[in-house]
Amino acid sequence: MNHPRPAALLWTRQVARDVFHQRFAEPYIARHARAGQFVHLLPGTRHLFRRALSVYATDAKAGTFDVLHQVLGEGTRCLSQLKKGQTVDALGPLGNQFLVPDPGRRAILVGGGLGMAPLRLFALELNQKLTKRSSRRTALERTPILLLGTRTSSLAIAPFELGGIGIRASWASDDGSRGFHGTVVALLADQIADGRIVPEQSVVYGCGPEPMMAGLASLCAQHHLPCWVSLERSMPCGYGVCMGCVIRTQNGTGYETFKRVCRDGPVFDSAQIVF
Amino acid sequence: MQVSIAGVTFATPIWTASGTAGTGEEIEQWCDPEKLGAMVTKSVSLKPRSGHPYPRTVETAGGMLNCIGLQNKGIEAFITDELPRLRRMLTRAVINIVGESIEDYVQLARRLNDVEGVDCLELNLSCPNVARGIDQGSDPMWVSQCVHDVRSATRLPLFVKITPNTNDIVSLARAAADNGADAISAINTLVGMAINHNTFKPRLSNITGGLSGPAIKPVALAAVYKIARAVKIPVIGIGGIMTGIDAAEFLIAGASAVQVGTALFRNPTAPIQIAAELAEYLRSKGLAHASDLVGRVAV
Ligand SMILES: Cc1cc2nc3c(=O)[nH]c(=O)nc-3n(C[C@H](O)[C@H](O)[C@H](O)COP(=O)(O)OP(=O)(O)OC[C@H]3O[C@@H](n4cnc5c(N)ncnc54)[C@H](O)[C@@H]3O)c2cc1C
Ligand SMILES: Cc1cc2nc3c(=O)[nH]c(=O)nc-3n(C[C@H](O)[C@H](O)[C@H](O)COP(=O)(O)O)c2cc1C
Ligand code: FES
Repeated sequence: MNHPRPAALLWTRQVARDVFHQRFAEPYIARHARAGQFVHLLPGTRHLFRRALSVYATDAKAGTFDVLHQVLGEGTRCLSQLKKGQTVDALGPLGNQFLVPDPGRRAILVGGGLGMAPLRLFALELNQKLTKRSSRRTALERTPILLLGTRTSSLAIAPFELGGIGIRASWASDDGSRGFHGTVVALLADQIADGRIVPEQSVVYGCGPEPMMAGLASLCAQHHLPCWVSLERSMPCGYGVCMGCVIRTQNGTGYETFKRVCRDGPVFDSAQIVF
Repeated sequence: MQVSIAGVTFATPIWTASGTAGTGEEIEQWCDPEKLGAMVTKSVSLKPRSGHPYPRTVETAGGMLNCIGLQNKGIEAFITDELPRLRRMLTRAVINIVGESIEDYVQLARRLNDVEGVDCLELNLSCPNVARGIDQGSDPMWVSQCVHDVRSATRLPLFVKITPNTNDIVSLARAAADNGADAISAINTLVGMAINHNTFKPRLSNITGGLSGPAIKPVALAAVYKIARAVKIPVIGIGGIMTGIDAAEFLIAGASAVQVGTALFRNPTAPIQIAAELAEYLRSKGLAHASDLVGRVAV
């Protein structure tokens, strides 16, 4: 039987204005969380509901997990102000996960803003899983392409520890202050156009604001490129009982019209979703 | 902690509330069914319902609003997909049904008469999120007719869940009791609204929704207190119960059992925790049974 667990804060690092990287000690989540899954944290007793955050990093041996979050309102502010040693009540890991691409396809990770967090964990997972002899993957397949978007250079947050395994991000910024001038979806289109990314040999994994996910989904549909997107919804329960966190699907009418992002997702085949 | 209502025994007086615990599959991972008094399922209708678009919920001071819109698979899929698992779960299954007309309720009750695994029926006569739910449910004449017709259609123990969106909840309870209900479930959510002051837009897709959580507990307590004095059948208390002490207060006000809703969103083990706290409270008061508390309010 699963249950909520106290997670003790080990440290907080501010990585940009209003953006915090935090590490918590909680062995169960550390051991079980996979890329794409989230934790549901109760920031303080004044809050009725938990706040969902993607798992950014895990260390099963040390029994820790990391989150990366931006202060938006009360809940995230409370989290950012936790003191070392204080605990939050944590539920998780929850939701489904990013799945490894079929053989012969390379993972293209497309992140907008803090959407980078689960993609970072996925890049590490791919590297570990596909390096195993049994996986028979080429070096290229083991090394995902990482495309990251930011509004402007001062807000860009680079994923930590990916350099060590040979993964470097290509950046896109809305104002041209870092890397490609334009959105990260436009950057992907650019790389498809110049042949650096071959749709038949790729699978896209996206996480970021919903308009960006919609743009990504339609670009991928044009190129017949399989695309998985991680979505966000306000989540009262996070484990599938309230039916609050729904997304409209292509399944026409009736019960299947809406799916729960917390339990049927947060990762969906973008072709299934009506944005 | 065992309680008995309409001849059915329940392991504890702490149950889940309809629409807040799914149909069993999700909650099984967090709560030991044997320690749950009953699993009250999400309202099921004759035909599948898609529910309302997102956003369906919003957090408010001390509570939340929802306009889920009764998303459910419909009775046939419920019977084939959900009921077998519920039957295996070692807890009581209270099946909550919802219709648009009296005929719908009667058909649903008949359909559930013939299948195994249903311990009790709960009629949702009070959903604020569908066009006709409240109008009908706040009319004592309609409630009388509906309960009467369903009673004639089924042998199952019958709980009637009434709406607080009325100026006379006691009349609704009497209407149900006089027509063969075995217990009254009170309360469902209160109609409410939230507005985004930046965009001027309502925060819920359906504009208004139902308020639940600690914010409605005093309203629910008053309803239970008044109903318990007015009818002879048991009352099942619902509304903002977060702790064992909250549950105790409902029993003192006259409830024979309680249902836990919104608390489950914050903590999936809430009913188990609340039951443990209630047991501790009873011990501290030197009481042997939960039923020793029922209706003890000192007025
Ligand atoms: C699966 C999932 C993964 C997420 N991962 C991250 C992450 O890694 N880093 C990060 O910074 N944020 C992430 N978010 C968004 C994060 O949950 C919200 O920013 C946070 O809940 C805001 O809470 P607040 O109290 O600070 O803001 P408020 O605006 O005060 O929150 C009010 C209510 O709205 C909800 N809410 C507001 N914005 C969002 C949103 N965008 N998504 C979901 N609920 C929202 C809150 O949970 C709360 O119930 C994720 C959301 C989901 C669903
Ligand atoms: C998200 C949500 C969905 C609900 N769905 C139903 C439902 O389908 N049928 C029903 O009879 N009551 C439904 N309710 C009402 C609850 O069962 C309960 O009466 C109410 O929420 C008050 O209890 P609480 O404060 O403990 O949540 C729902 C409540 C919530 C919050
Ligand atoms: S948050 Fe409750 S069903 Fe997804």
